[in-house]
Amino acid sequence: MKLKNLRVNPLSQIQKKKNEEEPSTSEHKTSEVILPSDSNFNHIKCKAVRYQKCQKLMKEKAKAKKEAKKKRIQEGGPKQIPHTIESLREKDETTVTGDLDDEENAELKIDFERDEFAAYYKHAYEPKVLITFSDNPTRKNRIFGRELTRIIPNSISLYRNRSGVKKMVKSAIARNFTDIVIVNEDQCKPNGMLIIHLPDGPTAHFKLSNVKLTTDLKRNHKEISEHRPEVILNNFTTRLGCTIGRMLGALFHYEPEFKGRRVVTFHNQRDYIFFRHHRYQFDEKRGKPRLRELGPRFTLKLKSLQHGTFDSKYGEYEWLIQGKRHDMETSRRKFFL
Amino acid sequence: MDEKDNYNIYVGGKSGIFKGVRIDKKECVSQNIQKLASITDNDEVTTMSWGDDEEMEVLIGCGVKDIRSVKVYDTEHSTFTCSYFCNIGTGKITGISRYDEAILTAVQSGEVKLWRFKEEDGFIIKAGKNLDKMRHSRIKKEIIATGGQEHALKLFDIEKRVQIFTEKNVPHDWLQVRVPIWISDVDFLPGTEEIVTTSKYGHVRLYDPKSQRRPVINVEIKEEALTCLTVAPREKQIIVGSGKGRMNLVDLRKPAKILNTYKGFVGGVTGIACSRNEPYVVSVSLDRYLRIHHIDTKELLKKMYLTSKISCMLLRSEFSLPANEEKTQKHKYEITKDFVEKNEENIENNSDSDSEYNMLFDKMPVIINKRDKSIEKRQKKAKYSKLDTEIISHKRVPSVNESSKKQLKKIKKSNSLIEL
Repeated sequence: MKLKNLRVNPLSQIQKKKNEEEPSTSEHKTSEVILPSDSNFNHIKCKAVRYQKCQKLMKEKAKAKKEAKKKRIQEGGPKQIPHTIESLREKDETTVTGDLDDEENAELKIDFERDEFAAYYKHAYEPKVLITFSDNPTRKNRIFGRELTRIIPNSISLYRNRSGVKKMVKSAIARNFTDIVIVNEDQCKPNGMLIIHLPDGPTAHFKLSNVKLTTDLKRNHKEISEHRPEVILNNFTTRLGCTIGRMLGALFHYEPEFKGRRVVTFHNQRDYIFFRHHRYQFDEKRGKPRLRELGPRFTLKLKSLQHGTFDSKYGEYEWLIQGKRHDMETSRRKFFL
Repeated sequence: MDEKDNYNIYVGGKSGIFKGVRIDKKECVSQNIQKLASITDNDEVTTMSWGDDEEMEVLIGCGVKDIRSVKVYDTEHSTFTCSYFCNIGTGKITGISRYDEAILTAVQSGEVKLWRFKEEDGFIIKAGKNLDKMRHSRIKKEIIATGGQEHALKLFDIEKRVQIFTEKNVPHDWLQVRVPIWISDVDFLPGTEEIVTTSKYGHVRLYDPKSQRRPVINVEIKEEALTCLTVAPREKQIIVGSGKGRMNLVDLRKPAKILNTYKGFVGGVTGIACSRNEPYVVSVSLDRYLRIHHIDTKELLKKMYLTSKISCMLLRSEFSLPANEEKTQKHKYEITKDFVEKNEENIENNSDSDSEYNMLFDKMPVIINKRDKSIEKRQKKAKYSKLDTEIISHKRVPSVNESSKKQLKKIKKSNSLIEL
């Protein structure tokens, strides 16, 4: 229905206007003189005057706000929490709350104990990761792959040699790999990452953006030691987020070498997963640890999560945002991870 | 525990859970029937079915790799009555049913076995490799259908233990390439011998074993790997679900057509079921949700989080949504009312046409059109034989009658509309 083209009933509009005017004039009911409200200067026809008045009002408002804040600080009142998109996030019923051992999470615990990553979290195997690219990788993509091998312990970067993903999955299982990471590129920039957990899934497809290599950050790869890093997974709250977090965690060795003081962070914020790589140092004087970023850095966004190994055509998806799924993106305060 | 549980829906999960879901007036409750502590690694539920027509028993096929087992859950007493290991063939259990008081199972490697207490009483049918689905016929208890990846649809008579039907693949496509087969689900249309299959390549096919080996109807949903189907409560309509989370109503009357799309899915659909009387469709999907849609309005009526990945679902056929009961009753009432009124109208019309109409028409003056006038003129001019004029008048009069009848009907209809 086109609302624009419909003719508006002029009578109804007049009534509305009356309604709008009423609250502003309600204060002057006793004098019975209808005055324009002091916050609305639309009735002033001179533009300059209107502008002046408006500016004055805004200044007054700002002043009042500043004073209120000053007063609050003087009285030592509690700091107000600002509303952000995240604090106003729409509630998701799949959100995991409380400890895993709680009674309400008993089923979740069973799920975690039975899923594909259970063996890793029981320390049954050491992860061995294959990193590969799309065909004919450009220089930047190759370097990015090599940097990933420096971050993920026990990983190897190989050319794909025009082999299909399903074929790679088969041969990688035969060679005891536990995960495959495929970096895709477009216009000489890495733009997609496919993570396949072996031997029987799941498969996650991420959009990859903002890749900054170590050299872009003006760092040297020689700074990166060969110690196994610690992994921080931040803010993965929903059930889907848990799976993704577990998946990313399972790429790394379960026993970090704390001597290296290397830390790898996957920080989820508004469904974007930010990757950072740091070396830390405890500073007792400051009471805070010092951080030095080592690089690379990149951002991931989940596109789909598939049950089983890669089969984009005939596989079953656990979660997929594609095609006509606009009902999934109902509001900008709705997040999935 | 020895009480009748009043769950409407039973679901089985990938992690091995077996749940009952009750949809009440006030709330939806889901409870684990199998104790969480007792779940082992080889408990992944792969298939479920009702053991009998009264829907008292649930047969559950569990396990994926090495150890597969069959469990029987009694809904009357809320207990597991029987369980045994299914140590035949390889691969997961793809079909389970009850035949002649014994349990019939099919595994992925193609062995269909009837389990008796004495080994020699039972039998094994080798259906062929890659069996992805086995379904029991509803009318003829001795017929089963099987299908799978490169495993054409076959019908077996398990009483005589012979194969009675195999499908013939559809003709090659326009590039003269063989069309591959990957049947993902099979079902019998109620009341007929016709069989519907869905395939991972997106085909929905209807077979009529009586008439021909090739499918009678073949529809394709492009780029969707169909995973499951169910028969809708109306004639020749089914609902299919895909691995990408698309659910459609398919009308199998010629020419077959893909109708309603049901929205709201995030993950692949793994199980669909329809209520027998009410226009509701219940579906479970890999995104851990159970959804209830209205078949006609496509509206999402209910959505329920079930914590684990769900692989299959069973619905009581007399299921109805209590919260919407009044609404539906109203709806029904309206429908029936309309129907009755229409009938009455028809009857009235009929009776009118018999006696009253005649009376009316007798009273009415004869309307003469221009043409008639001209005819009369001609007649006057001619004035030859009486016979001719008689015939003409005879021809004219009933036609006038008919038109007036129609007008009357129109008037009546408009009157009834005003009354409504």
